[in-house]
Amino acid sequence: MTVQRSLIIGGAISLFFLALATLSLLWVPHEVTSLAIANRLQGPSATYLLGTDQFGRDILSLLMVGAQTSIAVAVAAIGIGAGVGVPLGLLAATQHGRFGDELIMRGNDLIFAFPALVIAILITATYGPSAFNAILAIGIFNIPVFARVTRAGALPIWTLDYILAARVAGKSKLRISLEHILPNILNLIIVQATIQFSLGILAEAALSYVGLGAQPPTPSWGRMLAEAQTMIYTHPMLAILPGACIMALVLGLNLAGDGLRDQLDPRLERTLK
Amino acid sequence: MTASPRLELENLTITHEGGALVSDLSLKLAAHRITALVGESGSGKSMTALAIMGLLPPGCSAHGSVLLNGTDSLLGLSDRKMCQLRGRKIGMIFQEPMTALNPVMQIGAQVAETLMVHRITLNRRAAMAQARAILDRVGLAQIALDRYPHELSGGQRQRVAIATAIAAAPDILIADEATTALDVTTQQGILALLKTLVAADGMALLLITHDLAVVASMADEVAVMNQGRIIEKGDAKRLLSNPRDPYTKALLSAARPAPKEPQPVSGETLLSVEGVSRIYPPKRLGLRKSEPFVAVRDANLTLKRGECLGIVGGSGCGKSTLARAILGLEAAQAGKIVLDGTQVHPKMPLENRRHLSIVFQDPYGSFNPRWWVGRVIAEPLDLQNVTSDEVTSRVATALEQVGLSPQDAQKYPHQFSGGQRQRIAIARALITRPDIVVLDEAVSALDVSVRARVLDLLKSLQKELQLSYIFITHDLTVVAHMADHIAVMEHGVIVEQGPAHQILSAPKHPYTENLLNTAPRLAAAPQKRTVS
Repeated sequence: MTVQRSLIIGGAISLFFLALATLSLLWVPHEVTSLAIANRLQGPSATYLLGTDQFGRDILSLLMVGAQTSIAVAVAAIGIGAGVGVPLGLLAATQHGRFGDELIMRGNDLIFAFPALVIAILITATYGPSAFNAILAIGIFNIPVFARVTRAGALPIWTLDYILAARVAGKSKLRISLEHILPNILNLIIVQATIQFSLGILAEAALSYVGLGAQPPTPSWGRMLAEAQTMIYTHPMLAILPGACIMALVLGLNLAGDGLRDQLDPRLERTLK
Repeated sequence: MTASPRLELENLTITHEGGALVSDLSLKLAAHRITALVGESGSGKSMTALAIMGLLPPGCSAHGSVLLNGTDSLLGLSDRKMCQLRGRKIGMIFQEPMTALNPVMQIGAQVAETLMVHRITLNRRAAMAQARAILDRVGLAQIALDRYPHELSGGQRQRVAIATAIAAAPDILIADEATTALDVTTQQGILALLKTLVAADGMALLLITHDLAVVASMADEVAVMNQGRIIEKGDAKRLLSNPRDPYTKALLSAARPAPKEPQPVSGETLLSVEGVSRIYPPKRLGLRKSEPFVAVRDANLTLKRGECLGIVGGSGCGKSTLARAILGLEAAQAGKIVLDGTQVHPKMPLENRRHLSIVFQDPYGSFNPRWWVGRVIAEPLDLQNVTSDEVTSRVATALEQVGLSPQDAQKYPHQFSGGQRQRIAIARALITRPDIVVLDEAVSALDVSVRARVLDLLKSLQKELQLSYIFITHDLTVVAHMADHIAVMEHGVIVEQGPAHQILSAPKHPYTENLLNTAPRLAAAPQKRTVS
């Protein structure tokens, strides 16, 4: 079996950032909470590989811990979205054409009808800015995405003969959903998860940028960008580095998602007869 | 008629990654003649058609020579050159009329498109007028140009597809299984239309099919393909009545299974269907409500132990809906179904479900592709009180009963051929030791030689296990081979039922008579076509 090239490249980029984030849990070159104004705004050197910011913090360390924040927020948001959305989608598919289906899907539409970022701002403005509230806000908007993908994937499978065979055997809809439907649409859900992952990274960066995500002193790519903007002409690297990280990780995740979709597509497994 | 052939294939070889899909194929298509290319799936007949059209899938290459009208070589032409020939010189009709038409384009525009693309008319108005004339020719005079494909029936759609294929008056028409997806009565109409068009326009028709009965009623010449080679070719009448090659002989005998000898079935009544109706509730369409749809009306049937009941009818006649009610999947709105003294309904106890099982048509959609075969077969036992050791031994027994080996339980469904998959489906149906097996078009998707073996298997299992079958099909040869008793359905109503030999030899209802008359039959001698 050949592996899609976009999956290899995207996977490598994503895993690189994941490795950075994991490493930052155990070790960083310099403590990110210790300020050393004397060393502020230094260029790259042997001690500070990517230089220091206006408070004398090591930028490489900030980026590493920032990756950890971004990834943690995005993954937790996917957990909320998929954890609620997938069961909802499966349930809607079993109720297809009936009131339950309508109720779930119109509820979804209702969430879709609000601009996600504005609601996230509302939540964080009401309950105070924190990483936890950012997770909650992003996660809620992941729910309808997963519910839709799940339902759309499940409906055609419900019409297949092996589902009818399972019903002849007397199996309940719940059991059929878990035994037959879910394993057959898992590829769709995984691909959607990688896409939501990259959107989650962007959303976290945006919330932090406007000061509603992770709070100081927790480093975050979005806040690094916000803090760098007053110095963008004198010290452009302060903005470019976190910006490049966001871009690279989002690009990597999108490539990986694309590659995964092609890789998991069963139609590609079939060879020409 | 010794005019130069319209299309001449010589030593055509098609290879894919080193392996030959078609080797050394030589064939001539003459004007006014219908040449049939017959073979089972995978024999290379569709590949041959695609090679002629220059539409081989990537990775395939064709060698040899394909000559159009004696001079123009088609192989190795650039795609731009081929585009000018496709549709203009060579038309093609496909099996599935729904996917061959563009669903968002009006039918008149689709026919006119061919005319405009080939610059036969550049004026849109004139093209539409010509499209009207062509649609009239294919028997769609009543259908407006601005209808969409989904508003038409399967047969009408196939007529539109034919209209687009003949719009530019091509020299050659290729029909690839063009009637396979249609009902027998519809099929008859399409075949008659093709015959008329060939006679009138002098096209050379290449009829690609697996159905020897269609060949018998249509073709002037036949070429039989097996594993990429032409095994035997010649005059249709001669070849069908006196085949020389053993493969052709086997194919012919498999295609006409002998009708079952009438024999009395003495078993007790196992299942009775009394006045059953299946009515779908009205649908809400905006503010209006549709009428309730009656899929089955007042059906009465009985099935004895060891008997095979055939239910025959065209698509949409309600036969599968009735089967679902009998299986207890959907509730009947009127009447009752009694199995061995207990009533069948969707909420019946699991213990009663064990007596009923089903085998489906599609050997590809019948299994969860992510389960290995052993689990697939054992699924009906999941909710029964059976120990895991017994499940393993019963799976092994079932596999042996259907002629597979117990080791096959470790494989995945996609590792099996169509016929083997159908055997797996039968094994799954037998695992609960049922009394009644519903066979819903169970052999319709199989090649004739595979079909003959599966039918043999079904018959021997029936004897061995004292099974009763409900055999649902549109194919009269098969039902004659299997059934003791036949019920004919039309528009949800059982119009006629009785002993099989009686229904088949002396039908009383006009619909049954029509079914019997329109089904192309192999036994019938090929009719001589008059060529002007």
